[in-house]
Amino acid sequence: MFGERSFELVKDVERQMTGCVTGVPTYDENGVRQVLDEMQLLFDQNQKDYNRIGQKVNQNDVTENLDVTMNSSTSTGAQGEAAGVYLRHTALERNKDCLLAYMSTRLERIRDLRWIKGSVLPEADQNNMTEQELQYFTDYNKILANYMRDIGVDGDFDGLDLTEHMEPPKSHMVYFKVLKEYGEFEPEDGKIIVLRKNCVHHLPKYQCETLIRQGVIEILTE
Amino acid sequence: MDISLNGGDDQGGPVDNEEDDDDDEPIVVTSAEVLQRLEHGWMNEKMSPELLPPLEQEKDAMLGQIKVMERNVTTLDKRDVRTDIHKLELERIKFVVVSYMRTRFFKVQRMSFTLYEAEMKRSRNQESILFKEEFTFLKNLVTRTADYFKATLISKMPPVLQKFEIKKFRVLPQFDAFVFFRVLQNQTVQVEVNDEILTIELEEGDLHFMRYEPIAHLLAGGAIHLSTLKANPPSRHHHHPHAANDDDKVNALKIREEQGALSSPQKISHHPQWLRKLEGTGGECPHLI
Repeated sequence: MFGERSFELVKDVERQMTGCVTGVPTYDENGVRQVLDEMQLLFDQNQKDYNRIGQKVNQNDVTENLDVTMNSSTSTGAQGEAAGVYLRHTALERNKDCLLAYMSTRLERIRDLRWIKGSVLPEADQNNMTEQELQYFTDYNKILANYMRDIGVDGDFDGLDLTEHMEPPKSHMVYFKVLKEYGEFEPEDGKIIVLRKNCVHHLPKYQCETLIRQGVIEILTE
Repeated sequence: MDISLNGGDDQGGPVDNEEDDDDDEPIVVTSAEVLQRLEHGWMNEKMSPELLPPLEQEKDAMLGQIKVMERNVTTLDKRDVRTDIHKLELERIKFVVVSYMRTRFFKVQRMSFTLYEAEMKRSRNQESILFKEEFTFLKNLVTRTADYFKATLISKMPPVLQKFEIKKFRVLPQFDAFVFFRVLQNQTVQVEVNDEILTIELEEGDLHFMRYEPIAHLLAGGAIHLSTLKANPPSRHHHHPHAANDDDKVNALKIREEQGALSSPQKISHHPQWLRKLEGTGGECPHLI
């Protein structure tokens, strides 16, 4: 039936998104292509039928004039064709909707990843994304960075990092344990510290948030 | 625990807040008052399903204040116990501002096309619902996203369907969402329940739980403010005994900083669960399906 494949895509993406909250699922290139093929097929068929009725009604746009066609055509054959065109057009619209839903759900998740994992995505996620999605991610990154730099510029304030201060602070400084080798980290005061596995450090909470999200460190005390 | 941030009374000095009042004179308010307005605005923003008018002056004033405080805090003696407390307080204030901006950010992002459409249709004498920088962001995001869809999908479709229809990207606020709110001025409100119209008396100080739509205009008029179930009942607070006009009355209702205002309505826990918890209308995080 028309639109079945595209509905599959939508159901898939929903399942994948609830199954994995912090990554992008693989892009279903095959699925998308099949839907686009089906759309082309529907469209070609419509063109054919339309040309057949077309001799009676000289219009270009299929959809807008269908009602006219349905009412004005006297022969039952033409009426049947018009109904077919109408049905196929609805299927086309539905396929378009489903594809857009599929792609924009992925896009939403890709934007979320900027907030979960920071501006550089792990390879696992990158491999699941298309070329254009990667490009979108990079651009989103820039747009977001520009925005955060813009906050309060009029009031002589130079930007606000919205990815910091994710949680209400309970204490200013926290002790944290390093979970994996990370290397050098530069806190705001400029004194570089080296994060080695199992080391314990003491830093202001808000400066640790990115590291926590990346799974590099773990808070010991509040 | 009211800590004056700059260590003395003088640095919390008055901030000029040019607000168009009836008498057209700038009102001078203290930074504590500004913070309080921002806190209320922040709670409202967090709990309401739609984007609320921006608190332009409050935000700018508070950012300026943060800058001053950040400077002051570096001059304090590091061995002094109070230094850490000052820093923590500064962190809390920053959290409120950042969280306010972030809450708005995610609403703007989620409803980007809807807001962009509205912004394009807005007449010149209508106030924008966005901060200036938010609008720039919105414009960039909408353009980039539309380009993405055109390049990846729409151009590959049959000719009749090669239109970018903004209506397919419309996301409307959930006006049906239920919210908690505290009544600041006596009101009556008409609510439709099962095809019946009920008139409900709202008395000052009451806490109610209701659909957002019928009370949205009260929020805009400042007769109520949205809250969490936990937020403490209003109490007159001590910073400014000269509370006279209606604006001050709003300020006079203080959510105690220790619990109410600074613990966010939806508690965030560590990655990755915090993502899931923050779904919903007022959520302040990436929105999941």
